[in-house]
Amino acid sequence: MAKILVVDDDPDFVNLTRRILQQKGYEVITASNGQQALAVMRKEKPDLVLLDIMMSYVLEGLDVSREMAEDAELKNIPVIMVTVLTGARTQVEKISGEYVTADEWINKPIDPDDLLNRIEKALSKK
Amino acid sequence: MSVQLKGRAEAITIQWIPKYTTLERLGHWLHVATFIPLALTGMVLYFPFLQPLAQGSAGMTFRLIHRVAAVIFGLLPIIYFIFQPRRFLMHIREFLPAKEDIGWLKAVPAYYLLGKHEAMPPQGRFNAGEKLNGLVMIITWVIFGLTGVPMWFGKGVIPPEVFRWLVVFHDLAMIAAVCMFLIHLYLAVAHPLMWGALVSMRFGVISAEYAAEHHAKWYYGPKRAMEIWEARKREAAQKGGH
Repeated sequence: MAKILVVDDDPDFVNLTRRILQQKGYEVITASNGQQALAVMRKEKPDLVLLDIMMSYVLEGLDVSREMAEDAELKNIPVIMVTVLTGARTQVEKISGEYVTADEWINKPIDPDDLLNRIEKALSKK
Repeated sequence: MSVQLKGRAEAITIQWIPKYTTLERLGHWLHVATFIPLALTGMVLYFPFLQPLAQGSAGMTFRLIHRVAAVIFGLLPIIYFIFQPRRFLMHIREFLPAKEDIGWLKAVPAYYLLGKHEAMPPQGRFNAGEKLNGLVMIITWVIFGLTGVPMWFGKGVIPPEVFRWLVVFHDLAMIAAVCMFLIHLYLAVAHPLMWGALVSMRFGVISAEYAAEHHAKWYYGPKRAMEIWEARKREAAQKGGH
């Protein structure tokens, strides 16, 4: 079964997500900040990352995503952003300005079924 | 800052960042709703020219309002700590001074009066002014409690000279808190550059643009915020040189 890294500074959210994922048989590893997340990724090579954006600072998750994209070993790991931030969705062929990429964007509070569906979808694209 | 979804012609641009929880906003507004009657009824007892109002049944009513408001005012931080202890401790940590705060306080008159922001060092989730306000409110809350409770229950029990000192410290705390409250009120409600502060306390969120401008260390992280600030200063110096 796939190994999923949950990156979030909220221990309640990490525990809840761990329970949801473990019930479905996923192996769960965790990190509570960006630096720790990158270190765990390099060591454990997870199949997918659930990445909180706002941790010790607002854009920390996006910086993690940017570092992943620049690292040959990490750039192909699917990333699902899980966040309390509110974003405006726009249809664009090519975006301008600063951006990072992600496989999915989910707003908290999460719906467990929706989370599991999106994880399966992201893993199936690997 | 945007997130592009892989394999789709879709991008998400960050717009709103949560800054305060519902409990924090409720606590803030209840704090305001109790602080104002506390200050007004306290002034009736403090200023000699208002002393006639402190006599008779009117005086009894003012004292009753002061005490009821004081109980709610005193309990609010305790309720906050009980229900959201992690957020409470995070707030206390974020109110502690940082090395950029002196630079921010030095640069702030030119910013508030002339709109010059080049010299303003990047700030965290709270800027130095908000920290100063928070620290004054925390310290005076402690002094109000330590002096107010014995003043309420200790009359005739506490030696008169000790009681007088309690009144002096209670009054000094009141002067400090009212001065800070008036500055805070003006900046939050009337100052054209600080509109985001009131939005965040009403709705709990702050816009990404406002956070990037006013709370860069919180938004970009300390390292990148300093790089952006240094670049902004270099640009301003080059413009000034031409």
